[in-house]
Amino acid sequence: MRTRSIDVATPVQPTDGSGVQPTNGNGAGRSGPDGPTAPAAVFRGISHSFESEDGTLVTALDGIDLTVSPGEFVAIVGPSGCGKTTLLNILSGLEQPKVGSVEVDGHAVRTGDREVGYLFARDALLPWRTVLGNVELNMELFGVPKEERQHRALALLHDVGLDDYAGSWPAQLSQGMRQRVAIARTLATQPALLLLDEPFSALDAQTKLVLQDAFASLWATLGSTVVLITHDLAEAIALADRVVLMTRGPGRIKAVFPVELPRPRSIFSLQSDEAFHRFYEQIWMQLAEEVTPR
Amino acid sequence: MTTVADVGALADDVAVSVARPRRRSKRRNVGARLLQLAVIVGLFGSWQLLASTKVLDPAFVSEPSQFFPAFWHGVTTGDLLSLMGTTLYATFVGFAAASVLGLVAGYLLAEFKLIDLVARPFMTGFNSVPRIALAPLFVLWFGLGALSVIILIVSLSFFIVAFSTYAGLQSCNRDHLLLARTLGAGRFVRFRKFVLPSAAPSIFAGLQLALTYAFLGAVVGEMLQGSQGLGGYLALQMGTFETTNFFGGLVLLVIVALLVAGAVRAVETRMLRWRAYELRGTRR
Repeated sequence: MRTRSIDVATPVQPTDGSGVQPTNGNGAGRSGPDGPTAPAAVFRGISHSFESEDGTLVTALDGIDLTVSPGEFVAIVGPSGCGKTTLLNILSGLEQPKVGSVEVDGHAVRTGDREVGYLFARDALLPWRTVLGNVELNMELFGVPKEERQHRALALLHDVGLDDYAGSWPAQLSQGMRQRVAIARTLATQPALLLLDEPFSALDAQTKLVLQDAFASLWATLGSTVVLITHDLAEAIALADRVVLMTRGPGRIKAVFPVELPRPRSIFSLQSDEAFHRFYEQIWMQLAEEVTPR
Repeated sequence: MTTVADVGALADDVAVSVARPRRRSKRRNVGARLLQLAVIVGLFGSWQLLASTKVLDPAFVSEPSQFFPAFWHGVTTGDLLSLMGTTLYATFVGFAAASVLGLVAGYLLAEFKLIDLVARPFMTGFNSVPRIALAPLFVLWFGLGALSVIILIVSLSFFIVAFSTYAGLQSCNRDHLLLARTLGAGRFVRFRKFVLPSAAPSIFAGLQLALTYAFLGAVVGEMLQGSQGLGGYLALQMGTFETTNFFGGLVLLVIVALLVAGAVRAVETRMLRWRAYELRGTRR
Protein backbone atom coordinates (compact mmCIF):
# COMPACT_ATOMS: atom_id res chain seq x y z
CA MET A 1 0.00 0.00 0.00
CA ARG A 2 1.46 3.31 -1.02
CA THR A 3 0.79 6.32 1.11
CA ARG A 4 1.59 9.95 0.83
CA SER A 5 4.15 9.72 3.60
CA ILE A 6 6.94 9.28 1.07
CA ASP A 7 9.00 12.40 1.35
CA VAL A 8 10.65 13.12 -1.91
CA ALA A 9 11.47 11.37 -5.08
CA THR A 10 14.83 9.69 -5.01
CA PRO A 11 16.64 10.17 -8.26
CA VAL A 12 17.94 6.94 -9.70
CA GLN A 13 21.04 7.43 -11.76
CA PRO A 14 21.15 5.32 -14.86
CA THR A 15 24.78 4.35 -14.46
CA ASP A 16 24.89 0.81 -15.71
CA GLY A 17 24.03 0.06 -19.29
CA SER A 18 21.07 -2.14 -18.51
CA GLY A 19 18.59 0.66 -18.12
CA VAL A 20 16.55 1.47 -15.10
CA GLN A 21 14.18 -1.06 -13.68
CA PRO A 22 10.95 0.37 -12.40
CA THR A 23 11.31 0.96 -8.71
CA ASN A 24 7.72 1.54 -7.82
CA GLY A 25 5.77 -1.10 -9.61
CA ASN A 26 2.95 1.37 -9.89
CA GLY A 27 2.25 0.56 -13.47
CA ALA A 28 4.22 -2.60 -13.98
CA GLY A 29 2.24 -5.31 -15.63
CA ARG A 30 -0.89 -3.20 -15.78
CA SER A 31 -3.30 -4.41 -18.36
CA GLY A 32 -6.72 -3.03 -19.02
CA PRO A 33 -9.87 -5.11 -19.03
CA ASP A 34 -10.29 -5.07 -22.82
CA GLY A 35 -6.97 -3.72 -24.03
CA PRO A 36 -4.33 -6.05 -25.39
CA THR A 37 -1.43 -6.97 -23.12
CA ALA A 38 0.78 -3.95 -22.82
CA PRO A 39 4.30 -4.33 -24.18
CA ALA A 40 7.63 -3.28 -22.75
CA ALA A 41 9.70 -0.71 -24.61
CA VAL A 42 13.48 -0.85 -24.40
CA PHE A 43 16.04 1.71 -25.55
CA ARG A 44 19.52 0.20 -25.78
CA GLY A 45 22.49 2.52 -26.03
CA ILE A 46 20.80 4.98 -28.36
CA SER A 47 23.01 7.69 -29.85
CA HIS A 48 21.93 9.87 -32.69
CA SER A 49 23.24 12.87 -34.56
CA PHE A 50 22.14 15.21 -37.32
CA GLU A 51 24.07 17.05 -39.94
CA SER A 52 23.36 20.74 -39.49
CA GLU A 53 23.07 23.14 -42.42
CA ASP A 54 26.74 24.12 -42.36
CA GLY A 55 27.76 20.47 -42.45
CA THR A 56 28.80 20.02 -38.84
CA LEU A 57 27.56 17.00 -36.95
CA VAL A 58 25.25 17.80 -34.04
CA THR A 59 24.81 15.11 -31.43
CA ALA A 60 21.15 14.90 -30.48
CA LEU A 61 21.16 11.83 -28.25
CA ASP A 62 24.05 10.31 -26.41
CA GLY A 63 23.90 6.84 -24.91
CA ILE A 64 20.25 6.53 -23.91
CA ASP A 65 19.37 3.38 -21.98
CA LEU A 66 15.86 3.11 -20.73
CA THR A 67 13.40 0.30 -20.10
CA VAL A 68 9.71 1.05 -19.96
CA SER A 69 7.82 -1.77 -18.26
CA PRO A 70 4.55 -3.19 -19.59
CA GLY A 71 1.70 -0.88 -18.64
CA GLU A 72 4.02 1.75 -17.27
CA PHE A 73 3.52 5.47 -17.92
CA VAL A 74 6.88 7.12 -18.44
CA ALA A 75 7.28 10.84 -19.03
CA ILE A 76 10.44 12.17 -20.63
CA VAL A 77 11.12 15.77 -19.65
CA GLY A 78 13.87 18.07 -20.77
CA PRO A 79 14.70 21.49 -22.14
CA SER A 80 13.81 22.16 -25.74
CA GLY A 81 16.39 20.82 -28.12
CA CYS A 82 17.37 17.93 -25.87
CA GLY A 83 16.33 15.34 -28.42
CA LYS A 84 13.11 14.22 -26.73
CA THR A 85 11.14 14.11 -29.94
CA THR A 86 13.97 12.32 -31.73
CA LEU A 87 13.85 9.68 -29.01
CA LEU A 88 10.13 9.18 -29.60
CA ASN A 89 10.61 9.12 -33.38
CA ILE A 90 13.20 6.39 -32.92
CA LEU A 91 10.87 4.38 -30.71
CA SER A 92 8.12 4.71 -33.30
CA GLY A 93 10.37 3.68 -36.18
CA LEU A 94 10.06 7.07 -37.91
CA GLU A 95 13.82 7.49 -37.52
CA GLN A 96 16.64 4.98 -37.29
CA PRO A 97 19.23 5.61 -34.59
CA LYS A 98 22.87 5.91 -35.66
CA VAL A 99 23.91 3.75 -32.69
CA GLY A 100 21.89 1.37 -30.52
CA SER A 101 18.50 -0.22 -30.92
CA VAL A 102 14.92 -0.07 -29.69
CA GLU A 103 12.59 -2.92 -29.04
CA VAL A 104 8.91 -3.08 -28.29
CA ASP A 105 7.94 -6.43 -26.80
CA GLY A 106 11.20 -7.87 -28.03
CA HIS A 107 10.71 -6.74 -31.64
CA ALA A 108 12.24 -3.96 -33.64
CA VAL A 109 9.58 -1.34 -34.38
CA ARG A 110 8.41 -0.04 -37.70
CA THR A 111 5.86 2.62 -38.61
CA GLY A 112 2.35 1.44 -39.12
CA ASP A 113 2.54 -1.03 -36.25
CA ARG A 114 -1.08 -1.49 -35.21
CA GLU A 115 -0.17 -1.91 -31.56
CA VAL A 116 1.27 1.59 -31.48
CA GLY A 117 -0.77 4.79 -31.18
CA TYR A 118 0.52 8.33 -31.65
CA LEU A 119 -0.68 11.61 -30.32
CA PHE A 120 0.95 14.83 -31.47
CA ALA A 121 0.92 18.42 -30.29
CA ARG A 122 -1.01 19.40 -33.39
CA ASP A 123 -4.23 17.49 -33.85
CA ALA A 124 -3.77 16.81 -37.59
CA LEU A 125 -7.53 16.41 -38.01
CA LEU A 126 -8.58 16.05 -41.63
CA PRO A 127 -10.74 19.11 -42.40
CA TRP A 128 -12.76 17.27 -45.07
CA ARG A 129 -13.96 14.64 -42.62
CA THR A 130 -16.57 15.16 -39.97
CA VAL A 131 -15.59 14.69 -36.33
CA LEU A 132 -16.97 11.15 -36.52
CA GLY A 133 -15.07 10.49 -39.75
CA ASN A 134 -11.87 11.67 -38.12
CA VAL A 135 -12.27 9.38 -35.13
CA GLU A 136 -12.88 6.52 -37.56
CA LEU A 137 -9.78 7.27 -39.66
CA ASN A 138 -7.19 5.12 -37.88
CA MET A 139 -9.62 2.20 -37.57
CA GLU A 140 -10.45 2.59 -41.25
CA LEU A 141 -6.80 2.28 -42.22
CA PHE A 142 -6.47 -0.74 -39.96
CA GLY A 143 -9.42 -2.41 -41.66
CA VAL A 144 -11.99 -2.32 -38.86
CA PRO A 145 -15.45 -3.05 -40.36
CA LYS A 146 -17.66 -0.02 -40.89
CA GLU A 147 -20.30 -0.79 -38.29
CA GLU A 148 -17.86 -1.54 -35.53
CA ARG A 149 -15.88 1.53 -36.51
CA GLN A 150 -18.84 3.82 -36.12
CA HIS A 151 -19.95 2.13 -32.93
CA ARG A 152 -16.53 2.51 -31.31
CA ALA A 153 -16.08 6.05 -32.60
CA LEU A 154 -19.40 7.19 -31.12
CA ALA A 155 -18.58 5.53 -27.81
CA LEU A 156 -15.22 7.31 -27.70
CA LEU A 157 -16.77 10.64 -28.63
CA HIS A 158 -19.03 10.11 -25.66
CA ASP A 159 -16.00 9.38 -23.49
CA VAL A 160 -14.30 12.62 -24.48
CA GLY A 161 -17.55 14.56 -24.05
CA LEU A 162 -18.23 15.34 -27.69
CA ASP A 163 -21.43 13.36 -28.27
CA ASP A 164 -23.12 16.34 -29.89
CA TYR A 165 -20.35 17.07 -32.34
CA ALA A 166 -20.12 13.82 -34.30
CA GLY A 167 -21.47 15.51 -37.43
CA SER A 168 -19.58 18.76 -37.06
CA TRP A 169 -16.56 19.75 -39.11
CA PRO A 170 -13.20 20.16 -37.35
CA ALA A 171 -13.21 23.86 -38.28
CA GLN A 172 -16.26 24.33 -36.06
CA LEU A 173 -14.44 23.11 -32.94
CA SER A 174 -12.22 24.90 -30.45
CA GLN A 175 -8.57 23.86 -30.08
CA GLY A 176 -9.32 21.81 -26.97
CA MET A 177 -12.21 20.03 -28.66
CA ARG A 178 -10.06 19.28 -31.68
CA GLN A 179 -7.42 17.68 -29.46
CA ARG A 180 -10.14 15.60 -27.79
CA VAL A 181 -11.07 14.30 -31.23
CA ALA A 182 -7.41 13.47 -31.84
CA ILE A 183 -7.29 11.60 -28.52
CA ALA A 184 -10.41 9.64 -29.47
CA ARG A 185 -8.94 8.87 -32.89
CA THR A 186 -5.72 7.56 -31.34
CA LEU A 187 -7.40 5.48 -28.64
CA ALA A 188 -9.97 4.01 -31.03
CA THR A 189 -7.52 1.37 -32.24
CA GLN A 190 -6.77 0.43 -28.61
CA PRO A 191 -3.00 0.71 -28.98
CA ALA A 192 -0.96 -1.29 -26.51
CA LEU A 193 1.83 1.28 -26.70
CA LEU A 194 0.97 4.97 -26.73
CA LEU A 195 3.51 7.55 -27.88
CA LEU A 196 2.61 11.07 -26.84
CA ASP A 197 4.58 13.98 -28.26
CA GLU A 198 3.59 17.03 -26.21
CA PRO A 199 -0.09 16.36 -26.87
CA PHE A 200 -1.34 19.07 -24.53
CA SER A 201 1.24 21.76 -25.26
CA ALA A 202 -0.88 23.75 -27.69
CA LEU A 203 -3.71 24.21 -25.19
CA ASP A 204 -4.43 26.96 -22.67
CA ALA A 205 -3.72 26.23 -19.01
CA GLN A 206 -7.25 25.22 -17.97
CA THR A 207 -8.08 23.22 -21.08
CA LYS A 208 -4.80 21.43 -20.59
CA LEU A 209 -5.83 20.20 -17.12
CA VAL A 210 -9.24 19.12 -18.34
CA LEU A 211 -7.73 17.11 -21.17
CA GLN A 212 -4.99 15.60 -19.03
CA ASP A 213 -7.65 14.43 -16.61
CA ALA A 214 -9.81 13.02 -19.40
CA PHE A 215 -6.82 11.28 -20.91
CA ALA A 216 -5.72 9.84 -17.55
CA SER A 217 -9.09 8.20 -16.95
CA LEU A 218 -9.26 6.82 -20.50
CA TRP A 219 -5.77 5.44 -20.10
CA ALA A 220 -6.74 3.77 -16.84
CA THR A 221 -9.31 1.65 -18.67
CA LEU A 222 -7.00 0.97 -21.60
CA GLY A 223 -3.88 0.05 -19.60
CA SER A 224 -1.41 0.70 -22.39
CA THR A 225 2.27 1.34 -21.96
CA VAL A 226 2.81 5.08 -22.43
CA VAL A 227 5.81 7.18 -23.32
CA LEU A 228 5.04 10.88 -22.96
CA ILE A 229 7.35 13.58 -24.24
CA THR A 230 6.76 16.92 -22.59
CA HIS A 231 8.47 20.10 -21.46
CA ASP A 232 5.79 20.57 -18.82
CA LEU A 233 7.07 19.12 -15.56
CA ALA A 234 3.73 19.38 -13.76
CA GLU A 235 2.10 17.40 -16.55
CA ALA A 236 4.81 14.74 -16.37
CA ILE A 237 4.43 14.28 -12.61
CA ALA A 238 0.64 14.34 -12.68
CA LEU A 239 0.38 11.63 -15.32
CA ALA A 240 3.44 9.42 -15.12
CA ASP A 241 4.73 6.55 -13.00
CA ARG A 242 8.29 7.66 -13.68
CA VAL A 243 9.76 10.94 -14.84
CA VAL A 244 12.90 10.71 -16.95
CA LEU A 245 14.88 13.94 -16.90
CA MET A 246 17.12 14.70 -19.86
CA THR A 247 20.06 17.04 -20.13
CA ARG A 248 20.29 19.88 -22.55
CA GLY A 249 21.72 18.71 -25.89
CA PRO A 250 23.38 16.39 -26.43
CA GLY A 251 20.51 14.56 -24.75
CA ARG A 252 21.51 12.20 -21.98
CA ILE A 253 19.42 10.83 -19.15
CA LYS A 254 20.21 12.99 -16.16
CA ALA A 255 18.00 11.27 -13.60
CA VAL A 256 14.94 9.09 -13.29
CA PHE A 257 12.33 9.85 -10.63
CA PRO A 258 9.64 7.41 -9.60
CA VAL A 259 6.43 9.32 -8.94
CA GLU A 260 4.83 7.56 -6.04
CA LEU A 261 1.49 9.24 -6.07
CA PRO A 262 -1.48 6.90 -5.60
CA ARG A 263 -3.77 6.07 -8.50
CA PRO A 264 -6.34 6.82 -9.67
CA ARG A 265 -5.20 10.41 -9.62
CA SER A 266 -7.37 13.42 -10.18
CA ILE A 267 -5.38 15.97 -12.08
CA PHE A 268 -7.49 18.70 -10.48
CA SER A 269 -6.95 17.73 -6.87
CA LEU A 270 -3.26 17.15 -7.56
CA GLN A 271 -2.96 20.89 -8.16
CA SER A 272 -3.25 21.45 -4.42
CA ASP A 273 -1.65 18.18 -3.33
CA GLU A 274 1.36 18.51 -1.04
CA ALA A 275 3.19 15.40 -2.23
CA PHE A 276 2.72 16.50 -5.82
CA HIS A 277 4.39 19.81 -5.08
CA ARG A 278 7.24 18.14 -3.22
CA PHE A 279 7.91 16.01 -6.28
CA TYR A 280 7.70 19.08 -8.44
CA GLU A 281 10.22 21.06 -6.40
CA GLN A 282 12.60 18.13 -6.16
CA ILE A 283 12.65 17.48 -9.90
CA TRP A 284 12.50 21.13 -10.86
CA MET A 285 15.78 21.83 -9.05
CA GLN A 286 17.46 19.41 -11.41
CA LEU A 287 15.55 20.50 -14.48
CA ALA A 288 16.30 24.17 -13.79
CA GLU A 289 20.03 23.45 -14.15
CA GLU A 290 19.34 22.36 -17.71
CA VAL A 291 16.92 25.10 -18.58
CA THR A 292 18.80 28.13 -17.24
CA PRO A 293 21.60 29.42 -19.44
CA ARG A 294 25.05 28.34 -18.33
CA MET B 1 -23.66 2.77 -25.04
CA THR B 2 -24.86 4.12 -28.28
CA THR B 3 -28.02 2.81 -29.78
CA VAL B 4 -29.52 3.05 -33.20
CA ALA B 5 -31.85 5.77 -31.91
CA ASP B 6 -28.83 7.79 -30.84
CA VAL B 7 -27.39 7.55 -34.30
CA GLY B 8 -30.70 8.73 -35.71
CA ALA B 9 -30.79 11.67 -33.35
CA LEU B 10 -27.25 12.36 -34.37
CA ALA B 11 -28.18 12.49 -38.01
CA ASP B 12 -30.82 15.09 -37.13
CA ASP B 13 -28.19 17.10 -35.32
CA VAL B 14 -26.02 17.07 -38.37
CA ALA B 15 -28.86 18.23 -40.56
CA VAL B 16 -29.60 21.10 -38.19
CA SER B 17 -25.99 22.18 -37.92
CA VAL B 18 -25.59 22.19 -41.66
CA ALA B 19 -28.86 23.95 -42.41
CA ARG B 20 -28.27 26.82 -40.03
CA PRO B 21 -25.53 28.73 -41.85
CA ARG B 22 -27.20 28.02 -45.16
CA ARG B 23 -30.42 29.69 -44.03
CA ARG B 24 -28.48 32.72 -42.87
CA SER B 25 -26.75 33.06 -46.22
CA LYS B 26 -30.08 32.72 -48.01
CA ARG B 27 -31.35 35.88 -46.38
CA ARG B 28 -28.22 37.71 -47.44
CA ASN B 29 -28.64 36.34 -50.97
CA VAL B 30 -32.09 37.91 -51.44
CA GLY B 31 -30.63 41.39 -51.02
CA ALA B 32 -27.80 40.61 -53.42
CA ARG B 33 -30.23 39.22 -56.01
CA LEU B 34 -32.36 42.39 -55.86
CA LEU B 35 -29.27 44.54 -56.39
CA GLN B 36 -28.22 42.36 -59.31
CA LEU B 37 -31.67 42.79 -60.85
CA ALA B 38 -31.34 46.56 -60.41
CA VAL B 39 -27.98 46.50 -62.21
CA ILE B 40 -29.48 44.55 -65.14
CA VAL B 41 -32.49 46.86 -65.42
CA GLY B 42 -30.23 49.90 -65.16
CA LEU B 43 -27.85 48.61 -67.80
CA PHE B 44 -30.42 47.69 -70.43
CA GLY B 45 -32.65 50.66 -69.53
CA SER B 46 -29.91 53.18 -70.15
CA TRP B 47 -28.80 51.24 -73.24
CA GLN B 48 -32.33 51.47 -74.60
CA LEU B 49 -32.53 55.16 -73.72
CA LEU B 50 -29.23 56.01 -75.41
CA ALA B 51 -30.19 54.06 -78.53
CA SER B 52 -33.75 55.48 -78.75
CA THR B 53 -32.50 59.05 -78.42
CA LYS B 54 -29.85 58.30 -81.08
CA VAL B 55 -27.05 59.28 -78.72
CA LEU B 56 -25.59 55.94 -79.70
CA ASP B 57 -26.24 54.73 -83.24
CA PRO B 58 -28.54 51.66 -83.12
CA ALA B 59 -26.81 50.42 -86.27
CA PHE B 60 -23.70 49.87 -84.16
CA VAL B 61 -25.10 49.01 -80.72
CA SER B 62 -28.56 47.72 -81.68
CA GLU B 63 -31.09 48.19 -78.85
CA PRO B 64 -32.53 45.92 -76.18
CA SER B 65 -36.07 46.24 -77.56
CA GLN B 66 -34.74 44.71 -80.78
CA PHE B 67 -32.19 42.12 -79.72
CA PHE B 68 -34.20 40.54 -76.88
CA PRO B 69 -37.01 39.67 -79.33
CA ALA B 70 -34.35 38.44 -81.79
CA PHE B 71 -32.92 36.26 -79.02
CA TRP B 72 -36.38 34.95 -78.12
CA HIS B 73 -37.23 34.26 -81.72
CA GLY B 74 -34.00 32.33 -82.18
CA VAL B 75 -34.76 30.28 -79.07
CA THR B 76 -38.41 29.52 -79.88
CA THR B 77 -37.71 28.58 -83.51
CA GLY B 78 -34.76 26.51 -82.34
CA ASP B 79 -32.36 28.12 -84.82
CA LEU B 80 -30.13 29.60 -82.14
CA LEU B 81 -30.51 26.52 -79.95
CA SER B 82 -29.14 24.15 -82.55
CA LEU B 83 -26.18 26.50 -83.10
CA MET B 84 -25.70 26.64 -79.34
CA GLY B 85 -25.83 22.84 -79.28
CA THR B 86 -22.90 22.65 -81.71
CA THR B 87 -20.90 25.06 -79.58
CA LEU B 88 -21.76 23.25 -76.34
CA TYR B 89 -20.76 19.94 -77.88
CA ALA B 90 -17.30 21.25 -78.74
CA THR B 91 -17.06 22.93 -75.33
CA PHE B 92 -17.92 19.80 -73.36
CA VAL B 93 -15.89 17.37 -75.42
CA GLY B 94 -12.89 19.70 -75.29
CA PHE B 95 -13.37 20.38 -71.58
CA ALA B 96 -13.75 16.69 -70.76
CA ALA B 97 -10.64 15.74 -72.74
CA ALA B 98 -8.64 18.60 -71.22
CA SER B 99 -9.80 17.64 -67.71
CA VAL B 100 -8.89 13.97 -68.02
CA LEU B 101 -5.52 14.73 -69.61
CA GLY B 102 -4.87 17.57 -67.19
CA LEU B 103 -5.67 15.49 -64.11
CA VAL B 104 -3.40 12.69 -65.29
CA ALA B 105 -0.60 15.11 -66.21
CA GLY B 106 -0.93 16.95 -62.88
CA TYR B 107 -0.76 13.66 -61.02
CA LEU B 108 2.32 12.50 -62.93
CA LEU B 109 4.08 15.83 -62.35
CA ALA B 110 3.32 15.75 -58.64
CA GLU B 111 4.16 12.10 -58.11
CA PHE B 112 7.26 11.56 -60.25
CA LYS B 113 10.15 13.92 -59.69
CA LEU B 114 11.82 13.07 -63.00
CA ILE B 115 8.72 13.78 -65.07
CA ASP B 116 8.34 17.06 -63.22
CA LEU B 117 11.93 18.10 -63.90
CA VAL B 118 11.84 17.12 -67.57
CA ALA B 119 8.33 18.04 -68.66
CA ARG B 120 7.37 21.09 -66.66
CA PRO B 121 9.62 23.62 -68.47
CA PHE B 122 8.10 22.51 -71.77
CA MET B 123 4.60 22.80 -70.40
CA THR B 124 5.27 26.25 -69.00
CA GLY B 125 6.73 27.26 -72.35
CA PHE B 126 3.83 25.97 -74.39
CA ASN B 127 1.35 27.49 -71.95
CA SER B 128 2.85 30.95 -72.56
CA VAL B 129 2.16 30.72 -76.31
CA PRO B 130 -1.06 32.63 -77.17
CA ARG B 131 -3.09 29.63 -78.31
CA ILE B 132 -5.65 31.72 -80.17
CA ALA B 133 -2.89 32.55 -82.62
CA LEU B 134 -2.51 28.85 -83.27
CA ALA B 135 -6.18 28.42 -84.20
CA PRO B 136 -5.53 28.81 -87.97
CA LEU B 137 -2.78 26.20 -87.66
CA PHE B 138 -5.20 23.79 -85.99
CA VAL B 139 -7.67 24.36 -88.86
CA LEU B 140 -4.88 23.61 -91.32
CA TRP B 141 -3.98 20.41 -89.51
CA PHE B 142 -7.37 19.14 -88.41
CA GLY B 143 -9.65 20.70 -91.01
CA LEU B 144 -12.72 22.90 -90.74
CA GLY B 145 -15.15 21.50 -88.21
CA ALA B 146 -15.52 20.47 -84.60
CA LEU B 147 -12.18 18.67 -84.26
CA SER B 148 -9.95 21.71 -84.72
CA VAL B 149 -12.16 23.68 -82.31
CA ILE B 150 -11.86 20.89 -79.74
CA ILE B 151 -8.08 20.82 -80.16
CA LEU B 152 -7.99 24.58 -79.55
CA ILE B 153 -10.05 24.13 -76.37
CA VAL B 154 -7.80 21.33 -75.12
CA SER B 155 -4.71 23.43 -75.78
CA LEU B 156 -6.20 26.18 -73.59
CA SER B 157 -7.82 24.19 -70.78
CA PHE B 158 -5.35 21.33 -70.38
CA PHE B 159 -2.63 23.42 -68.78
CA ILE B 160 -5.00 25.07 -66.35
CA VAL B 161 -6.23 21.71 -65.05
CA ALA B 162 -2.73 20.19 -65.06
CA PHE B 163 -1.11 23.01 -63.11
CA SER B 164 -3.91 23.38 -60.57
CA THR B 165 -3.92 19.60 -60.00
CA TYR B 166 -0.14 19.64 -59.62
CA ALA B 167 -0.29 22.52 -57.12
CA GLY B 168 -3.16 20.90 -55.23
CA LEU B 169 -1.45 17.54 -54.91
CA GLN B 170 1.59 19.24 -53.41
CA SER B 171 -0.38 21.25 -50.88
CA CYS B 172 -0.95 18.33 -48.51
CA ASN B 173 -0.40 19.32 -44.89
CA ARG B 174 2.81 17.96 -43.33
CA ASP B 175 1.00 16.91 -40.17
CA HIS B 176 -1.41 14.86 -42.27
CA LEU B 177 1.46 13.17 -44.08
CA LEU B 178 3.15 12.38 -40.77
CA LEU B 179 -0.12 10.89 -39.52
CA ALA B 180 -0.38 8.79 -42.68
CA ARG B 181 3.18 7.59 -42.13
CA THR B 182 2.66 6.62 -38.51
CA LEU B 183 -0.43 4.70 -39.57
CA GLY B 184 1.66 2.82 -42.11
CA ALA B 185 -0.42 4.05 -45.05
CA GLY B 186 0.85 2.76 -48.37
CA ARG B 187 1.20 4.86 -51.48
CA PHE B 188 -2.38 4.32 -52.66
CA VAL B 189 -4.05 4.87 -49.28
CA ARG B 190 -1.96 7.96 -48.66
CA PHE B 191 -3.02 9.36 -52.02
CA ARG B 192 -6.67 8.39 -51.72
CA LYS B 193 -7.29 9.46 -48.13
CA PHE B 194 -4.82 12.29 -47.51
CA VAL B 195 -3.34 13.82 -50.65
CA LEU B 196 -6.31 13.83 -53.03
CA PRO B 197 -8.89 15.33 -50.62
CA SER B 198 -6.52 18.15 -49.75
CA ALA B 199 -6.00 18.81 -53.46
CA ALA B 200 -9.74 18.91 -54.21
CA PRO B 201 -10.27 22.67 -53.68
CA SER B 202 -7.39 23.56 -55.99
CA ILE B 203 -8.51 21.02 -58.59
CA PHE B 204 -12.06 22.40 -58.54
CA ALA B 205 -10.78 25.95 -58.98
CA GLY B 206 -8.78 24.76 -61.97
CA LEU B 207 -11.76 22.95 -63.49
CA GLN B 208 -13.93 26.05 -63.20
CA LEU B 209 -11.37 28.24 -64.89
CA ALA B 210 -10.79 25.56 -67.53
CA LEU B 211 -14.52 25.52 -68.31
CA THR B 212 -14.51 29.27 -68.83
CA TYR B 213 -11.60 28.92 -71.21
CA ALA B 214 -13.31 26.01 -72.97
CA PHE B 215 -16.25 28.29 -73.76
CA LEU B 216 -13.89 30.99 -74.92
CA GLY B 217 -11.99 28.54 -77.09
CA ALA B 218 -15.19 27.16 -78.62
CA VAL B 219 -16.66 30.52 -79.57
CA VAL B 220 -13.38 32.04 -80.80
CA GLY B 221 -12.49 28.88 -82.72
CA GLU B 222 -15.87 28.90 -84.42
CA MET B 223 -15.67 32.60 -85.15
CA LEU B 224 -12.32 32.16 -86.88
CA GLN B 225 -13.73 29.31 -88.96
CA GLY B 226 -16.83 31.43 -89.58
CA SER B 227 -18.92 28.44 -90.53
CA GLN B 228 -20.39 26.61 -87.56
CA GLY B 229 -21.84 26.91 -84.10
CA LEU B 230 -22.86 30.04 -82.29
CA GLY B 231 -19.38 31.48 -82.84
CA GLY B 232 -19.76 31.10 -86.58
CA TYR B 233 -23.20 32.70 -86.40
CA LEU B 234 -21.86 35.67 -84.43
CA ALA B 235 -19.03 36.17 -86.96
CA LEU B 236 -21.49 36.00 -89.83
CA GLN B 237 -23.90 38.52 -88.26
CA MET B 238 -21.01 40.87 -87.49
CA GLY B 239 -19.74 40.56 -91.05
CA THR B 240 -23.12 41.63 -92.40
CA PHE B 241 -23.66 44.37 -89.80
CA GLU B 242 -26.62 42.56 -88.27
CA THR B 243 -25.87 43.87 -84.78
CA THR B 244 -29.34 42.97 -83.53
CA ASN B 245 -28.84 39.29 -84.36
CA PHE B 246 -25.31 39.50 -83.00
CA PHE B 247 -26.48 40.74 -79.60
CA GLY B 248 -29.37 38.27 -79.65
CA GLY B 249 -26.89 35.43 -80.03
CA LEU B 250 -24.67 36.94 -77.37
CA VAL B 251 -27.53 37.02 -74.86
CA LEU B 252 -28.03 33.28 -75.31
CA LEU B 253 -24.30 32.65 -74.97
CA VAL B 254 -24.10 34.60 -71.71
CA ILE B 255 -27.16 32.84 -70.25
CA VAL B 256 -25.85 29.36 -71.12
CA ALA B 257 -22.35 30.14 -69.83
CA LEU B 258 -23.81 31.37 -66.54
CA LEU B 259 -25.99 28.25 -66.19
CA VAL B 260 -23.09 25.89 -66.82
CA ALA B 261 -20.76 27.76 -64.44
CA GLY B 262 -23.53 27.76 -61.82
CA ALA B 263 -23.96 24.01 -62.18
CA VAL B 264 -20.23 23.44 -61.67
CA ARG B 265 -20.24 25.70 -58.63
CA ALA B 266 -23.22 23.81 -57.18
CA VAL B 267 -21.34 20.52 -57.55
CA GLU B 268 -18.29 22.07 -55.91
CA THR B 269 -20.26 23.48 -52.97
CA ARG B 270 -21.85 20.11 -52.45
CA MET B 271 -18.63 18.15 -52.58
CA LEU B 272 -16.53 20.62 -50.60
CA ARG B 273 -19.05 21.55 -47.92
CA TRP B 274 -16.34 21.38 -45.26
CA ARG B 275 -14.49 24.10 -47.09
CA ALA B 276 -17.06 26.76 -46.23
CA TYR B 277 -16.53 26.04 -42.53
CA GLU B 278 -12.77 25.91 -42.91
CA LEU B 279 -12.71 29.34 -44.52
CA ARG B 280 -15.21 30.87 -42.14
CA GLY B 281 -13.76 29.17 -39.08
CA THR B 282 -16.93 29.56 -37.03
CA ARG B 283 -17.74 27.53 -34.00
CA ARG B 284 -21.07 25.96 -33.50
